[in-house]
Amino acid sequence: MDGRQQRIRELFDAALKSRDRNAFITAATTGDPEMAAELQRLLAAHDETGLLPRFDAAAALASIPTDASSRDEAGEHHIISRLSRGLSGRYELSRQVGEGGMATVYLARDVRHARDVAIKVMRPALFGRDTLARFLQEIRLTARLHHPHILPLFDSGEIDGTPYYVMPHIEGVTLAHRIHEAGQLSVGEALGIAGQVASALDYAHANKVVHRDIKPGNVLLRRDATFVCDFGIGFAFEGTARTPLTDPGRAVGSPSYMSPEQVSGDSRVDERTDVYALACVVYEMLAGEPPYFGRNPRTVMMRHVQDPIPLLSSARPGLGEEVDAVFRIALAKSAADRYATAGAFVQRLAQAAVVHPRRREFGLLQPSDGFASPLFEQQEAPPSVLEQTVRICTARDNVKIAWAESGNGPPLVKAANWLSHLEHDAKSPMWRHWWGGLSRHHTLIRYDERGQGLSDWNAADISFEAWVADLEAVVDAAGLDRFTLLGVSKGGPIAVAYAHRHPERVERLVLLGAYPQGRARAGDAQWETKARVEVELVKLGWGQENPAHRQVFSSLFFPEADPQRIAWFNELQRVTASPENAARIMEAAFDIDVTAQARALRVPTLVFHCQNEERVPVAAGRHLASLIPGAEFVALESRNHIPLEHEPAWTQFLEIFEEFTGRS
Amino acid sequence: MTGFLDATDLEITRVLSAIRAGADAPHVDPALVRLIEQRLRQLAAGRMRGERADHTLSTTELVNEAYLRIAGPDRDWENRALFFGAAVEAMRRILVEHARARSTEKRGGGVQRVTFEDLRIAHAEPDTDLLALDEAMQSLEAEDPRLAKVVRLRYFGGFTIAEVADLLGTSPATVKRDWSYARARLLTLMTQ
Repeated sequence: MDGRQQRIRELFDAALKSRDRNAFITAATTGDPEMAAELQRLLAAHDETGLLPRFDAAAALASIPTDASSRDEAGEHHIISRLSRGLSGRYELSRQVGEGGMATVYLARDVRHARDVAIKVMRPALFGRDTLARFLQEIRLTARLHHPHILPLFDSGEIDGTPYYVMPHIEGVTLAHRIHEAGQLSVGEALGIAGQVASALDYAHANKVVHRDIKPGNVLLRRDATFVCDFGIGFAFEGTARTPLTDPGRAVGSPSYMSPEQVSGDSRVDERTDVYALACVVYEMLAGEPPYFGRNPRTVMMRHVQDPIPLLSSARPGLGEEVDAVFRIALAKSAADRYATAGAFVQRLAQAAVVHPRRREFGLLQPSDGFASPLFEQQEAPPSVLEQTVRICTARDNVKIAWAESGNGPPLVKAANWLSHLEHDAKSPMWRHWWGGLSRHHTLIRYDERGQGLSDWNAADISFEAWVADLEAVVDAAGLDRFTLLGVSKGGPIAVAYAHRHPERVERLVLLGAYPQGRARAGDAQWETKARVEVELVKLGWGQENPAHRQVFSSLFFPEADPQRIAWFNELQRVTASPENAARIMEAAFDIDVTAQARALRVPTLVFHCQNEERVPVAAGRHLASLIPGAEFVALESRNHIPLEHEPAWTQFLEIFEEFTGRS
Repeated sequence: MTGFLDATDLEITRVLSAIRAGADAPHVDPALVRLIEQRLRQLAAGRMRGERADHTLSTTELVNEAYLRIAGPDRDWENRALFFGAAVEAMRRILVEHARARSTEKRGGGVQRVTFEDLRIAHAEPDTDLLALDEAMQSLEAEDPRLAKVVRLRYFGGFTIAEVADLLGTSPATVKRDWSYARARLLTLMTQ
């Protein structure tokens, strides 16, 4: 309102109160007849009450909003054409695929890389200084995170002040869609998804990023993997610096998955808020509905704070009170009472779901005939299923050995190690990347050692000598002259012994996580004692359905694996060998000693070892490398015995391996 | 899968939170208005299915119903003013769009068939008046946004002087004066 209007307004108010309006106006507007006329008009209008047009709200509301929506479409079209111009040459926008509170997502073609991408664009309607800053924050946060289960960032930029970023286009559906379609998910599927989301969250938390809006709509399901997206309202909680972007007094998030501290606007929102939200999501996958719901968002929010934690076992009778106990912790009202990490929550949940005596009702980890196991069935097939041919050969003492051939190229033979199973390995998240990677440029020959997997479980002789002889039998059956020999873990000493015996056949030797001496020979009393205890554990608990005993081994082999992989490995152990055989195999390995053979080798050798693994100390790998003349030693950055798919150590191994074999 | 929670209600809550978190929210947010507009139409459709045809629908009741669904029984919800501000703007949009569509029809725009129903209401011209008012509103908004806010709440939302005062955080006396002036100003703008 300008000064003149302000004056008119004041005079108008005063005139209404005056006894004689005309006298008042004349006195107040001397020398300004225009202002006087304006005031007269306003006062006249004021006296004609009820002249504002009447409207028919019912008719207007009942009218089909065709023009409204077509106008929105026109607006949409306008935005698309504006973006298309700005992005031309690099991306071709095709259509809108999603819309959220903050942004709109378009499907587009990345011209330069000839691939489909998703472009997330800030909703123009929401443009404010703060929302813009928040969006830029999202871009920055997402760019910092590199994880197999976090939707990565390809590119980002700004067009006419509209920021955008480019992500891979995921062929799949959101978890929200999946739950809507399925009602309740199987325990196996739910745990699989939860495990991947948990590993993404734990990684983000380690990088000081809290998501703050974990919900089924932010979890994307592709055929072979799960992705967490939309770190839109997360913020880095670096040090003590508080970001002014998110007013701590305001609740941000989706009501159904909001933690009590978010609802109450507590400023101490940290990674345990994500653990809470993940628990709500997992609860919803299993129950078919989130733990708290109501007629409106306010009610739902208040329930997170006030209501007792619901029992999943009443919504899902197949699950028992062990599972309820896990959710009591994960959904605790106070963050301090919750699991410290998302991984710990899912791991405890997996255990609780398995130990429940009524598990047969939902078919998880039943004792199986043969090798059928529901957990294995639920494993999604890898992007390209390994094509392998399994054959059987006969060892000298008539024991049947199963071996498999995959890939094309010069031959690569892998000496057998403990805990292999030709059939399940091909699908397993612990091993499938190995077979795919090694078959890329080679014809890979691998086999199950006697007493386990697809090989003969009834073998009288389980000894180091028999293992070396089995390798000889497989090489003969495959009709190989000269090849690269790979030995992993116990396969290492077997490969060394073989190479020593047949130097003319072994072109190159590659060892990983290997050792020259068994645990009774290495002179490490502690390592030996642990080994004896492990054998007792195997004898006592290996065959039980409760995976607790097998879990010990899983954790030793793969301390960094997510719960899904741990569950898989627990189960692999059970179906791979009988407890008796497992104990015999372990004991037979105690007395291995290939020190002399290693010293006498004249084969180009590459020795890998994961630097911080717990199963076989890195010192053993170094010792082995020092024994073999001319051997090269490569330390891999990993805590696992065998690098997992998503670890940089795996990529590093494959690169060096291919360079060594002249295949890169 | 979210119980009784309506998807639009959820989205409205999210946008409200986003705006609150983004602090200074100077104008009524268009995205929020669009969402509430959608919700009001849903609610009205639900209402009118169960009512007699001659039922006059009160915009206040409807806007309040939408509010209750989002805020629950909490009368002092922090986003209350923000919500109602956007809701009455949604109501204005609905009314103006409806009026615009009908006046286009009457002018013979498009290839719409004219039915007896249309002819019967054609003699009264509330639609043209409403469109003129809307133009005047735009001038008023430019002159004084606070006055425009009062008009939207009072006229399009049907709130009482006391309720408007409560929502805007001012005294009823101020609202009463603002309303008197705004109404007069709109009428003079319409006849200019």
